[in-house]
Amino acid sequence: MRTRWLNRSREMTGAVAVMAAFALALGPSPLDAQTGTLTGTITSASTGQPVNGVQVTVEGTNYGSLTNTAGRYVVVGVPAGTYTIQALSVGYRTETTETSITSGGTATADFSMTVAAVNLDEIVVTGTAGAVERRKIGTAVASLDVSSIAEAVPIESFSQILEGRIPGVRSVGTVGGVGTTRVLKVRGTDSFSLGQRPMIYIDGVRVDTQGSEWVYSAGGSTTCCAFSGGAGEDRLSDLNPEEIDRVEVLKGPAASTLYGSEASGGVIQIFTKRGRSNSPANFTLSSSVGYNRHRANFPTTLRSEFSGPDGTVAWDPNETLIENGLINTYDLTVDGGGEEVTYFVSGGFSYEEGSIKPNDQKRGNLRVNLNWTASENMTIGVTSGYVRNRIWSLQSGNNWLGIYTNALLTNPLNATKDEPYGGGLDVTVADGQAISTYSDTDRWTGSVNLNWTPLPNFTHKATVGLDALNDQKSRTLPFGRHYTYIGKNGERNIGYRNTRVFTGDYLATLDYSLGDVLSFFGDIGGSLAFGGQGYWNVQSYSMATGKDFAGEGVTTVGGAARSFGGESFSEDINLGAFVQNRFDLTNDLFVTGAVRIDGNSAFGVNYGFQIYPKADVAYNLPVSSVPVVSSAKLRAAIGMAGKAPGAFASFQTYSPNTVLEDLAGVRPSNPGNDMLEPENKVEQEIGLDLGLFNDRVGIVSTYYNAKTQNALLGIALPPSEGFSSSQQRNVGEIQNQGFEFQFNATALDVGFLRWQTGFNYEWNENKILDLGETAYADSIPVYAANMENGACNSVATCDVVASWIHVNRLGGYREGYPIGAIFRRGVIGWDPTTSGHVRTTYNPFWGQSYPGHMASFFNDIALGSSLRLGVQVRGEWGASMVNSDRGYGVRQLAYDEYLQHLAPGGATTAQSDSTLNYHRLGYPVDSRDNIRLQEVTLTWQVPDALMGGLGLSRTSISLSGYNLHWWDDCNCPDPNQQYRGGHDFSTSPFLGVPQPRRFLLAVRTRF
Amino acid sequence: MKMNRKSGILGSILIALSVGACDDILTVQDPQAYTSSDLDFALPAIANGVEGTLHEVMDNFVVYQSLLGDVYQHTGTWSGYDETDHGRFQYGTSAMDGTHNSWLRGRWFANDAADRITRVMEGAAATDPKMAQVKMTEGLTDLMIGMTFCESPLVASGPTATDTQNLEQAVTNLTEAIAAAKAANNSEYEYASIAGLAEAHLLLGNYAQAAAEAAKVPAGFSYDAVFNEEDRNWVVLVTTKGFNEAAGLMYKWWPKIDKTTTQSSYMRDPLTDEPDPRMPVYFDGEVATDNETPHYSQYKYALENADIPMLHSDGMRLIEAEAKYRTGDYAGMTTILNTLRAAVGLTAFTTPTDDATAQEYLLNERFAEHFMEGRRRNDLHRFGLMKSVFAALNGGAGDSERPATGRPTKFSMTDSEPTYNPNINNDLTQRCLPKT
Repeated sequence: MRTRWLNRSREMTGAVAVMAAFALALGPSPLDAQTGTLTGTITSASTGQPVNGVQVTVEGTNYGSLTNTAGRYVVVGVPAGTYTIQALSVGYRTETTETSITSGGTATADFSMTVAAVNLDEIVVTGTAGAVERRKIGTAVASLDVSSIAEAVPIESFSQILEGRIPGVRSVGTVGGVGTTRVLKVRGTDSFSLGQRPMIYIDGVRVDTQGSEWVYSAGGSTTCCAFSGGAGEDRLSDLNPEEIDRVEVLKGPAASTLYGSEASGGVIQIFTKRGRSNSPANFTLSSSVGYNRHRANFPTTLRSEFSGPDGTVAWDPNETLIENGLINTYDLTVDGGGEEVTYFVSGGFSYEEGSIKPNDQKRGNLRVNLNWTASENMTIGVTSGYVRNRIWSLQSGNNWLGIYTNALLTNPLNATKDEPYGGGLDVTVADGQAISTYSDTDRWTGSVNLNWTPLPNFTHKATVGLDALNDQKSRTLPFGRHYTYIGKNGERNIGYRNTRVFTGDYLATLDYSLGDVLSFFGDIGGSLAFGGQGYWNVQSYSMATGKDFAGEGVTTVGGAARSFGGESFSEDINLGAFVQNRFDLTNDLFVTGAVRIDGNSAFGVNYGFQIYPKADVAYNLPVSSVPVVSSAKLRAAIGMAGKAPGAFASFQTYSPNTVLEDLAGVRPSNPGNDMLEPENKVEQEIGLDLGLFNDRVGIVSTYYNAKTQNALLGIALPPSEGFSSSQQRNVGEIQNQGFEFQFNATALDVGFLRWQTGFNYEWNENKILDLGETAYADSIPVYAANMENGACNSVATCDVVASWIHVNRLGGYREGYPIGAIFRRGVIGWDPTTSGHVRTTYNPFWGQSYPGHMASFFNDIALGSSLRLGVQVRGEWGASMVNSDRGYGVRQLAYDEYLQHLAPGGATTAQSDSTLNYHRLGYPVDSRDNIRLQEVTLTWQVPDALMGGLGLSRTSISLSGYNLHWWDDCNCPDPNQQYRGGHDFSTSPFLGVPQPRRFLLAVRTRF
Repeated sequence: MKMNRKSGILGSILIALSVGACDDILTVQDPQAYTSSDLDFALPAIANGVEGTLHEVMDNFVVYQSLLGDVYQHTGTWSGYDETDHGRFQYGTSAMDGTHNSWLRGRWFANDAADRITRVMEGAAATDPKMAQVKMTEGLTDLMIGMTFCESPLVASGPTATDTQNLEQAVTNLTEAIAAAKAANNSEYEYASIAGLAEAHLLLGNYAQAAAEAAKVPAGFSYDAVFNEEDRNWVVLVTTKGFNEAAGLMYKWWPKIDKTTTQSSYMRDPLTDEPDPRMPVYFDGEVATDNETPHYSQYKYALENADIPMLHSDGMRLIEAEAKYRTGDYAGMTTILNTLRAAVGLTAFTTPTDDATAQEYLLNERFAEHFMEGRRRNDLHRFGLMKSVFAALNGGAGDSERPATGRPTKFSMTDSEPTYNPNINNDLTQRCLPKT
């Protein structure tokens, strides 16, 4: 046996060989001579294609394996006997078969897996204190089989995986530059001031999820416009989708209680790929080529009808700024393993250009995952992922240096030969394009995990891990070009962000049986789990700026005439312990209770520890006698999780500053709060999971009602009290309630034609319930006149408040209204007596910034075994925005809305004056409602007969389009535009570059 | 086996709980900020921080005063400047709140610093320059608040008081500051306090006292708001050629500014048409960032760390001149004005014979001498000219964008104070926002 293992090791990489040698040195193989081998192939019943990643288990034992990309599995060393063999995979019905294994023999168990829209036997591990079948848990844990998705759709980023695929999870591209930030939020906005992104774990290790510009935190400012306008790079863009096997998502405290003080916004656990035992090396090579290109719908199409003082016809950015941005990716993975050691090794490189240049991203990923079965009851896993991610960031957004900004906000009547766009905001497009802006990141994420099963019913699992990240930013504004605030002598900025997130995790699980202690339920079984979890998050920032170069050629901070810098630091530590018990009452009813206790360095020194309880119940209804229904589970859960305050928010501080003639000064900064608590969110959730027509149709529906208690609010002190920062106090209450509906079905499966369809819908209602005692009375006007322009004809009928709504207010928040509600003065009519528009005297309510309704519609059509067409359409409704871009563009005499009213030659008219007057009185509020053709992918599975001669198998060629078209009424290029989107979704797009379309040709093959 | 299982469970729980209960593990330090107790050992930094807080908003004060009055017009992309220039701002949307907030915070910090210096230095505090420094700052902050001509609290979380009460408090605090400066033998703080006292008396209408104090300030003295690399002068950053051009000199002054390719021209004296070196300006024919308006730039402050004079001896001479004007001593007034004009090479005025001309001469000199120092709006208000000045725009035709009637004339109190101060009735109808 050992000899055979060594023979296989020749197929492994050097790293694997080292690991294997280590394994051998530790002792003899756990296998003995009275065993046999189980093997087989698993294919899809509908397509006949091999199914990768199917979990095959020998029931009643710890033996099992996963299928490789060829659908093969091998389980060796199984004691002779007759067993039930189970095959389990996300998206398929669980299959079982009886097989006898003889001593020294090889038994074969092949499976043909039927697609299932719902599978309650699926195993989930996130938020459940150990692996457990979905049928036993009372919460909505979503999972995505990323490997399978990638077979059908070329995936360019982790965020793309989540787009529209899980109701309740909003992953939306908002800033169009390559590598820039995106919105990722779960079940609405649950905090006034703390980050909105869910916690993300990779193989049990908490990772950095920075998605906003960090230079603001570095203490030393740039002269202008942060680094690239405020959007910042998205650290989620470090992840290589080719390394990801599957993703599990906990949407809220009902499911995420065991993650404690940072989990109220949800938890996403990413599982990277693993090798398969007793499998030869399986290589997968994938490559794609394509391009990004903006839709030519910038509001400047009339530019070319005007010319400047020297006769230069003005340039239209639609024609001159938009380019094809090349995309090229290469990934090579290999997985396999022997009896004791499995391996997954991958390397990838991607290059992607933005459609507005300069902007590109070069990313290289390396990953090695090893698993060693050290003994019959112990496995040790090691994961190691490294990424180098170099982004040339696009100057965009709320930014005087922005390329998009300075191309669009120009007056075509000012166009000259040297400035054909018409000048811009004092910086020409050419000068903006001469700026080099980099984010250069090295990142390593790794873990060691130990699984020890001293008894069949008692397991221990420990994980230690580290996410280490160094982000080096640099920006060079060359000498000799003019930049707002900076002048012509150039500037250099450099910044470093160093992050270390250490994770330690221990979990013990004891399965037990209490026997027939309660006769009503029969035998009662259960599972007791307990453990602890901690993280230590350290971040340090530094920045330096050099100003004024003597001439061209020198571009270092030290080479500038003047230089200055800054440094800042953040540290937070969390330690928690938890215990959970699940009772298995009969085989259908499962009741779980758990509690976690947390201490956190960000809590006030006089606060102490936080306790988070949870309970859930799952009842699998007896449906054998119910027509059509093949499975049904009712579930209900209640749980609490938290969100820790900012690292140093509890401290009273005075901040240093430079005053007078560069002297050291201090000033009152943070009033502090030694009773600061975490925000606690309590969520109630009920749901029904249904399988119909032999699980060909699946419905997952959930209603949730979550209240963030003790929400942190910045309570401003009167300025006369000295401190400039608000005092963080736990006084607010926020409600998010909603309904999620997921429908999946194999609509048609008639041999050559298989049509799978799906529909996701989410409703979310966000409401501020309480703003605490310091809130003050506010009156919200309801205007008699219609809010639309031109709806009334004189001041007498326009600026009339019909009634008042009286609510409590604190700053920009008002009780009874959502976070992100838009209150502002706006134009409501036209006064012919003054030939001007009428603006409201007060600030009425115009809408909310987060969509209340989101839906997506999928179709996956397979023609025979070769052709596959996937289409995804998404929609969002209920959000509005303060359309600052539109108002800005008109006020700059730049956008079509104004230009269309000019007389030939550019003379103003009454209509153009009226339009200008309208926008000078305030930015309009427009709808973000949209329907979007998100993805269309056509995949051709090349017959093996064609590729076999080259030694290739399962080769596919895909042609895909992403973000292809959208229908909206936003008076803007893209209703999702947002200049600063990673952690929030505020009310204004503010010249954020829209998302481009993407077209890809992808090839994937195996050998 | 049962014992082993129990031991395992108990051991694991104990380990987890003991780690979780170890309080010291959860203690972190913030190395980038001071605690209150740290500051007992950083008194110079406190005193400098107090004074710096006053200085750092002088630039914004100048810009907003200029937009409120007839010095600047909005030429950029910021709605806050647009609203202020066109007289459309109201409470809660005023872009000027930050300036008033800083004054109020700075005054609290000055008070707190004085208490701390007294506590830490005990008997030595009375003769220490740091005490004079914070007392001077407190008094000058009262003066700046009084210059708004609107209400504001006198103490932390106090009820509102009138501008007159704030100016009276300035008189009290600056008088104390003068004594402290003398005790500390610090002439800079002493003269700055005296100059502030003179200005406070001027605004209170105590012209004789104002002149008496002004006379004590020696020639050549100037107390400036100091800017540096970190705290840059926003008059330069947001209104000056080469930087952002969010505001520029108002069109009424354009006829007095020549197009030039160099940055060394001066606005011509409105009365004599002579280039006045006190008013460096620049116009190269290019439009501002609004893509439409020619940008006429101030150039008195060319560098982003340029200092802004707050109180100076020439300003004191103007106070003396105004005191004479108020008593009808036009000749005495003209003598002082001509001294100032001669210093910059301008033709002397002849002594006016009527009040209107005398006032015109006085305000003309104040405009030039205090060019880009934030005094023009005060003068228009003090002399009751706000309405007539705006009515006279466009050669007397008025300006529909800047109507002479209904225009806010004062620097309103920050919205933050009444919002969070429980002793102020947050009733907009009770707030100071006088309009023309």
